[in-house]
Amino acid sequence: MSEIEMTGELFLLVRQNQPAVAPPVTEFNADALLVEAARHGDQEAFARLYKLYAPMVHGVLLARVPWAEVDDLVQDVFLTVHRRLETLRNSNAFGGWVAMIARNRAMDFHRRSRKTEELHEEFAEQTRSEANADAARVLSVLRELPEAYRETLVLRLVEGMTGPEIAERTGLTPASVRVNLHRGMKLLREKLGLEAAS
Amino acid sequence: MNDDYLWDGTGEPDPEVERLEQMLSTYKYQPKKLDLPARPTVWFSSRLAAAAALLLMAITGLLVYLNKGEQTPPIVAKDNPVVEQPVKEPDTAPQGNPANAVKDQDAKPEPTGQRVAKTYRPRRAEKIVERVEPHDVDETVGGLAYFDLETAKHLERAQMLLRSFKNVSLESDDYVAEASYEKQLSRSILRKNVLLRRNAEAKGNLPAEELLGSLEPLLLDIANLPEKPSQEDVRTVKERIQKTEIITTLQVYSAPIMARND
Repeated sequence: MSEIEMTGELFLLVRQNQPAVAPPVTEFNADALLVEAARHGDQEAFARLYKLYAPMVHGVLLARVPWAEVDDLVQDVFLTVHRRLETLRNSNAFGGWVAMIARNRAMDFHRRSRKTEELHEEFAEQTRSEANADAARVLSVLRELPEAYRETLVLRLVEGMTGPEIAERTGLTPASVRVNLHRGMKLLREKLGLEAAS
Repeated sequence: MNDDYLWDGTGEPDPEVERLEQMLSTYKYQPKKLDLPARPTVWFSSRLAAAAALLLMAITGLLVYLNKGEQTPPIVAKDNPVVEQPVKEPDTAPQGNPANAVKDQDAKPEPTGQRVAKTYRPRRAEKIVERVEPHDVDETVGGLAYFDLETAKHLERAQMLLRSFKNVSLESDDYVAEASYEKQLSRSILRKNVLLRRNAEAKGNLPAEELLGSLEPLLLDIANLPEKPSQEDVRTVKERIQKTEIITTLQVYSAPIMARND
């Protein structure tokens, strides 16, 4: 069981499948310095943070919401981050904090637009080629995996992030990411019927 | 299955993972420009706070300046025809027995003299009126408006006489000598009291006339005591003094005037 505690207006979430959080980092890293600069109004520092963390936010959202909605939601998440940055107590926890905002934003999206979700998904599917239809099917299977596995696998397979990068951006421990990747990939193979081939 | 490739992309590539990566790359994040609203910096916030403080000081200064300009002379009844209560002049005040005033001395005193009009005026103007007329209130309470120094001295002497008579001890025969002394003193005070009462009556000073009039019977009782009064005679007068509470009344009216002229 893992526990994720967030600052500001976010919730305290305790979930069975939630990935473990890395132990608090005591020394300032480069990202924390960027966070500090951004908190003091440095827009360039915030732009740098956006460039570094946008793929992670994109992957977190893609694991939960229709692909056609993800780009707008990424913008929403970073606007929220920009607005609430002063409420972040520990600059070293920026990655986990942003990831949690993204997860909450995805949940909020489903609460508010449950009726239109399918329509958007169908519309998005119509615009893709047959080759992309296979990708859509794989993505659909990915989304059926448990939350912790699906998020980590999307970041690895879609966003192209390595395990250490995923751990660094999301605030998860490397061990947790590694386990999630291994078990998630095993489940994905089973669901895609690739188990025999491997 | 090659876990290293899945973990960090090193080692021998896993064909299935490679195929999935290639397939799903269509969903990969495409960098987009983020349009952020202008976020106030610390520098901007401090400048904004300083500007707000300056603006507040300017507004405060303006209000103070305007308040000084608005201060008008006190509005009094004689300048304003709209008066709801009559002006209470010293000569026309309390018609009842002044002795009763002692019982009401804890009540809030009514201001006399120039009275503020009851029509609506700005609160600031009313406060100014209240501030410039407190002495009128004191004069009413202490009887300064009704009794002159001569009358006050007389009231004080009468008060001392009555207090002395009230304290005469009846347990020994000495009371006869004491009562005799008080009797002589009372006759002297009585003559003065008659003069002052008639004088007050002539001036229409009803409070003074009432007080001196209530004092006179007691002075007469003492002055008309027999040469050798019985204990019962003295006790009767003492009880009357006690019952009328005249000593306290005399003290209330005379003390402020005497204190002011010390």
